[in-house]
Amino acid sequence: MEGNRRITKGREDLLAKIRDFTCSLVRNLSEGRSLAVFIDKFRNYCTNPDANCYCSSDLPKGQEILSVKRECNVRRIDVLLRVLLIVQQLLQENRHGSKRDIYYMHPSVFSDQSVVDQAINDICILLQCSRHNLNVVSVGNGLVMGWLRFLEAERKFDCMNFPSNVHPIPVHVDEVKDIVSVAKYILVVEKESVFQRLANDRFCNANRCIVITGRGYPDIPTRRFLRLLLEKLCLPIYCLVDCDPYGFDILTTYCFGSMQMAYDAKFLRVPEIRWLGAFPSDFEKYGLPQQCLLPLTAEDKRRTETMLLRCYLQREVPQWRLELESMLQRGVKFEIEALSVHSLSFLSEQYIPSKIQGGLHI
Amino acid sequence: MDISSSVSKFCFHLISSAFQRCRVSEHICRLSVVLKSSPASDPPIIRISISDTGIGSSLEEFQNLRCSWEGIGVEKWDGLLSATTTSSHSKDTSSIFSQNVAFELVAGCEDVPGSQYEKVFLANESNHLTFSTSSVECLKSGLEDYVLKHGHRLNHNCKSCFSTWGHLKVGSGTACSLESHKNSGSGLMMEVIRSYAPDLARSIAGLILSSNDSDFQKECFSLLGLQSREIGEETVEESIKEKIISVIDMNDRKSQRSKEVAVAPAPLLFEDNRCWNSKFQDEEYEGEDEF
Repeated sequence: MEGNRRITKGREDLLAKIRDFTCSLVRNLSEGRSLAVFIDKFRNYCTNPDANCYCSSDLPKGQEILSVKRECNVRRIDVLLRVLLIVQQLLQENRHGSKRDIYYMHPSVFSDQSVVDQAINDICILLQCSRHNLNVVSVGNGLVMGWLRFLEAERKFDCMNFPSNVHPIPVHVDEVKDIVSVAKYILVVEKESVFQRLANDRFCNANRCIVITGRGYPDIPTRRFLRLLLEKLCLPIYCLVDCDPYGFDILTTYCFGSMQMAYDAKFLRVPEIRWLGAFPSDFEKYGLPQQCLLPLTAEDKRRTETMLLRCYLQREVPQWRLELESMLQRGVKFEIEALSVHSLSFLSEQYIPSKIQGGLHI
Repeated sequence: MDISSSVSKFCFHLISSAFQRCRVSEHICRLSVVLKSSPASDPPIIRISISDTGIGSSLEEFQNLRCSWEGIGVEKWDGLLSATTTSSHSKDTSSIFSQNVAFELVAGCEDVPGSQYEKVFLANESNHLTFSTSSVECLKSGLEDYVLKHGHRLNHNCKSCFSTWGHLKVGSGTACSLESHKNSGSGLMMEVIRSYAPDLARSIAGLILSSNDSDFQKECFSLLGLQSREIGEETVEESIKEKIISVIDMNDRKSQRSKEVAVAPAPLLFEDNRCWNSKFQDEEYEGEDEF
């Protein structure tokens, strides 16, 4: 987990970096040079058909220069400095705040949450750290169950005795320690409804595993927690998503990270994740009825075509690309719940175990 | 302006907004214009309804409406405009030139059953574009279409197309104004930038003064040329603000000078800086914004 960007994870290190940054601004101003902020640019994929992109490297791809010459830049610098001031205070007092809290400190200036989010990302890039290092945290959204035990800041999460009990994924992933597990694999499911289905069917009692859900798009704590489990337990990770463009996008977020958080992708992605299902071909294979199939909307098709252009699909996961193309060609989608059409427990008792045992994942 | 022309202008605006909403929508849409008269009522009423099944409307469309009602007596016109929308503004403009709008014209008299006259027809578009046509092709086709309709009258503001460009804005990025590179209207731009100086100064002063490292503070004060007896929040802020303004003015002088030398300003590489780190290339379904 250690890398160049982790050198500055300590609060004192970050405060020193903030002071250096402020000092350099003051020095430039005093010497009559322009006020400028240099921000590295990151991306985790491009849609350039040329095979020579270097998106797989975690290096910055260019740099943005914000200066007082342009009004939109000045506005961004203003927001960045305001947020930086708040962050300095949080770090000095060792308090935590959410992105929303920060927004409400100057709502008329910030005008929108996304403005604050961008400033926070810019600061992370400038200070070469992750968002949680700034003491900016968020409410967690993920859930976990299964054969797992760990401590989070003195609180014990012991799911070993009751593997089908559901717990929220801890938000302060830094403070998770003493991870112990007898699971054979980790299963990540897209939706809470599927997660609850598995909980109701007592899937973890019958199968030695850990089940996680991000409840849709995985948030930062969920992704970090998954990464932590991978590093500590070295288990295979399987992902179960709906057979639609949305599900596929969630899968790629777990695997490659999101563009928004591209600067921190190294610590948020799990490239080892395997796509368990549902594939377009599962429809025939498991004899799903016609009425479970929904047509792809024009928006779905547009998204799918755009996703197909992502460079990492060609380079890293060509088999995923084939399945996505197949989805587009067929022009239909279906949800995981369609697999329950034969029997409610088909998913827990047949589909998932047989796929895992049969190695039917890509 | 008499009643009929201002009303027709107003209706025209509503119809063209509705047509745009339909064109932008990816589905086949219906645009209905319904005229219902009830001469028996007192005062007699004609109700004009313009409705569409295109994308949802936004407030901006109605904010730009400037209707001059001076020529109309209050007792003749109740002027009630009711607008309802059922969905939010779509961000998709790639299908703006597709052939998907059906018009329905209805006129009738409420009190007389069977007096309704209806006509339905498709919008006549000569191009055949699909959703997978690239944006460049769509844009090219749309431009060709425009030129064919309007000849080469570049300065003519065509009322039959878009009366205001305002509601073609999509997304929420901050577009960068290019005025500072065009002409002497850059004075206004500089004013705007200068107006940020107090806030910038306050933030930088805050970073210095709220720091718990006194050596750092001393270093900053000495860089600013402040003596220890002068140090108070306001003096620090003022000092920084002056320096920021002088830097802004220096930039302004440089760009003026470069104009005088007739050097073309460097092409702007990053039009909308905001978009790079977030929502790059294809939009994500939900960014990290939720969390």
